Amino acid sequence: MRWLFILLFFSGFVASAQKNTADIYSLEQFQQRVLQENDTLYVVNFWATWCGPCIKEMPHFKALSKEMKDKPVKFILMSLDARADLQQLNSFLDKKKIDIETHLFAGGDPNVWINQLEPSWEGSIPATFLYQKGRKLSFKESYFSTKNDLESFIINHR
Amino acid sequence: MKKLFAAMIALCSIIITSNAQEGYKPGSEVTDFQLKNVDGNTVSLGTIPDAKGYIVIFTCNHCPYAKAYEQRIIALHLKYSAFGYPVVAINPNDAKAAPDDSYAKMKERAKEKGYPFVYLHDETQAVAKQFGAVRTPHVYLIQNLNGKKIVQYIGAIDDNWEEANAVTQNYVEQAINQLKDGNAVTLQETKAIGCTIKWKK
Repeated sequence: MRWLFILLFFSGFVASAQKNTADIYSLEQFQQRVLQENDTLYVVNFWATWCGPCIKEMPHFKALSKEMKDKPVKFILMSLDARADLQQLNSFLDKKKIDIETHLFAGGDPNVWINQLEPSWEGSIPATFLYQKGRKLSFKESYFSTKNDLESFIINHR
Repeated sequence: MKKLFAAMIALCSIIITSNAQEGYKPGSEVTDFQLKNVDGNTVSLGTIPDAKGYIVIFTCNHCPYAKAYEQRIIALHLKYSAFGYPVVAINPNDAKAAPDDSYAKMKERAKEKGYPFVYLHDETQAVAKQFGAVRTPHVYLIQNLNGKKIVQYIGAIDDNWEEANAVTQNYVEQAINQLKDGNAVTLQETKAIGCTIKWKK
């Protein structure tokens, strides 16, 4: 009986560890995460669960993150859903089987953080950034209609 | 060949970028337009009586950001139309891409929420293109100045879409107050997140 409890405890633990859940991220946390002095290429997509074109391009991010999982490429999803909708975001990740690292971005006044991340950004989503070695390599304010489009955006960044 | 192709792609992206940056900037003179209001009448800026200016807001029914700002847009109109700055709301979305933004749904929404301002349908999307609007909500504050309609501010309504109570910067109000006092607008442009305008394909 005791073993059963222990087993149940651990199986529950494993299941919850596998589940992809988003946390709330500040601008500072975001910058620390993507501006790192290593060779990893960070592919960062700003999106939201209610954003049609974002959902349309999501399968390309899912597919490429799997295909590139042995390469020094890290995919990160930055959700612009409301903080009050964190739970809704997490059930969305679960339902759509999205296992890419996800954060809910709470950066404060968009007029401050948009200008800081990319002054040419008009503020529409989806928007995708590439970061490497502590600097921004590329930015696109529009959606990728095919997986190939996203792949060439990632590969041809230099 | 490959290089030529790459150059062509680069050129295309430059063209696309420059297109996106067309439209009005602070200081631009606005060309008046004619659009159908939810009451069936055709409205131009020039036909709105006693206006010292206009708070033109590209907005829509379906977008969560537009919804979050709906009450604040109503409040802006109630507060500032008395000073000659009425809200002129314009929905530019293609109803095929966003069925909730059809003219019929606009009429429903305006009635249900008792919109005190005009809510215009930019069916051809020509006005949104003329302004250079890219998202909803997207504000253009216009002042009537010596017979001309001049853009004085472009951007966000305020600095907190999620919580109206936690707003610290009322960008549009600050701009109107400066104009009312005969001053120049100090912060002429702000950035905001919003829903992309759903363009016709």
